[in-house]
Amino acid sequence: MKTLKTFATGLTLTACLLAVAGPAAAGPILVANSGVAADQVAPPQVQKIFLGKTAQWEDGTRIVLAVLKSGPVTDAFMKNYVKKSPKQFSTFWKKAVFSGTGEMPAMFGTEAELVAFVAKTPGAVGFVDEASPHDGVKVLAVN
Amino acid sequence: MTSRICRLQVSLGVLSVIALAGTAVVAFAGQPVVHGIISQGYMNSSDYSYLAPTEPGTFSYNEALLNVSAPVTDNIRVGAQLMARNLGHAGNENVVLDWAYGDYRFRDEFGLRVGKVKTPFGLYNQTRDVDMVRNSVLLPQSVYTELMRDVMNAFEGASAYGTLTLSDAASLEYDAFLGTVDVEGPNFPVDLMLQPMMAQMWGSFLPLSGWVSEGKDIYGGALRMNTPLEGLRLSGTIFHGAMDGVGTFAAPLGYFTPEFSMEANYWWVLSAEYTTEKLLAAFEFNRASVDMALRNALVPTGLADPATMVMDIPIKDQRGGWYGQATWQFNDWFQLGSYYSMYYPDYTVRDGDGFAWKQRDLAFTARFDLADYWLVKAEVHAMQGTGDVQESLNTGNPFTTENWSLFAVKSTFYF
Repeated sequence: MKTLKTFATGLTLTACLLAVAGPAAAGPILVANSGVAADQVAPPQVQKIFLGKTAQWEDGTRIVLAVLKSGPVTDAFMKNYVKKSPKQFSTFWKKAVFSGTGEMPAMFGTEAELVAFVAKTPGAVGFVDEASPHDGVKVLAVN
Repeated sequence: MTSRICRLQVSLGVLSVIALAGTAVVAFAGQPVVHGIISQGYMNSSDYSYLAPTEPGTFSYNEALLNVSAPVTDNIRVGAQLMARNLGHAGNENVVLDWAYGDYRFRDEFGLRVGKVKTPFGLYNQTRDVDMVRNSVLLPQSVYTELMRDVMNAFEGASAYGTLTLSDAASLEYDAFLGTVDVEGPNFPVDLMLQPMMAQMWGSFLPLSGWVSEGKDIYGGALRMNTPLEGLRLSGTIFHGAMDGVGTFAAPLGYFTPEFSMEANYWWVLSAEYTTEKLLAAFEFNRASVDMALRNALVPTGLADPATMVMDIPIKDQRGGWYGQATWQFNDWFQLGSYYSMYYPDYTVRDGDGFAWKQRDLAFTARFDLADYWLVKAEVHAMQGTGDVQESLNTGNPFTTENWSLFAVKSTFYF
């Protein structure tokens, strides 16, 4: 009886917290086109990929970058992996574009648009919130 | 005029070919992507005209850039950029090919760019015309001098580049380049350089016409280290480059045919940049050894032998200087900054009579990102000295004031 009461209390509290918090933001995950051979990427390699220092996957396929324009997932991904603010990231790629040394990553306003682009573009890689739908793409472990 | 039209046609042709090439291979590569910039500035200075007729003020300060690039295969990319600019005497809004090259990236450690390539020099030379990537309107002129722009802007040739991984947190990027200095005649403010020499010889300023420039060999290298200290980048660049040219000065007795040559024996710059989420701090120090020579033949109207009136003026240019800069990003749309820049026309002279042996520039800069594709910048400069002030922009205005000021504002649209 006591166990049931404790369980019911815990369930109620959890439900209340979920109601207050709204949809969960679980943090960014790396998603890639299903044709990408890699299954995992080391954190320093993530930075090199998103700054264009690494431009091809190991099998020689060109890496195509897909980036969310703004939002907490973008902030977290840039801070934790790319080591730049979103504005610095944008400035970095503008330098590359107008000096001819690189191409601006594809930018998306929503995670659904980004996932759809990654799913249909060979070599594409991007990031989305773990909790958002990402069917049709491959999740790359970062470790 | 014909040559300008031809140059424009060639430039547009190159862009068209690249766009078509990108379209043709879209099935296995990427779509050609187009980006552009249009900016308009205004400058006003208190006592002297600087870089342009800034005293009493000028709108003769603008740029337009348009580029297209496309991946052709997984490791080959092509692109080109057109530019038209105007800064006082320089540019005159002629459309020129700013860069155009094919980029073969064999692997991360080695790639090759062949074509017309922007010259690596310091932290910002390759993006000197790109307003969106910095806080200030004017780059510190102690390092990024507009007068020498055409020697250091771009070259036609090849560049080998790559990134070497040193550790998880550090890497070394390199560039080694070889080619011919690309001198776009209308961009080179040759009259600003030559007229003081001519005035020194003949005692008055004369109008220059028919100038034809030719670039000579350039070679050099750059190393950039992303250090283990997050946000700290160190770099060093050195190059050798040369150009020459010939033109005509009209004169009451006939005309002069100056032949001008300039050879940067070396020009190096050491740089450090540190960035955090809000802060950018940079320091750069540069020195150059440039030999210039002016051979001037007076061709009097009606006389047959001008050789008897040839004069040679050798000039040793040992420019040098440094600057320190800091900017702070308050929020997405507002950034403040300041830099302190010291320029010495001759770095071996650190003191002297008058004001011409140095130019100090204390600048306060502000940037407002008003929309995703529009920014406005404004800045004030407290200047001391006239070491970088061109006499030809200030005829009849003796350099009697040591302290003067400059105000600049610029609006830039981009996509």
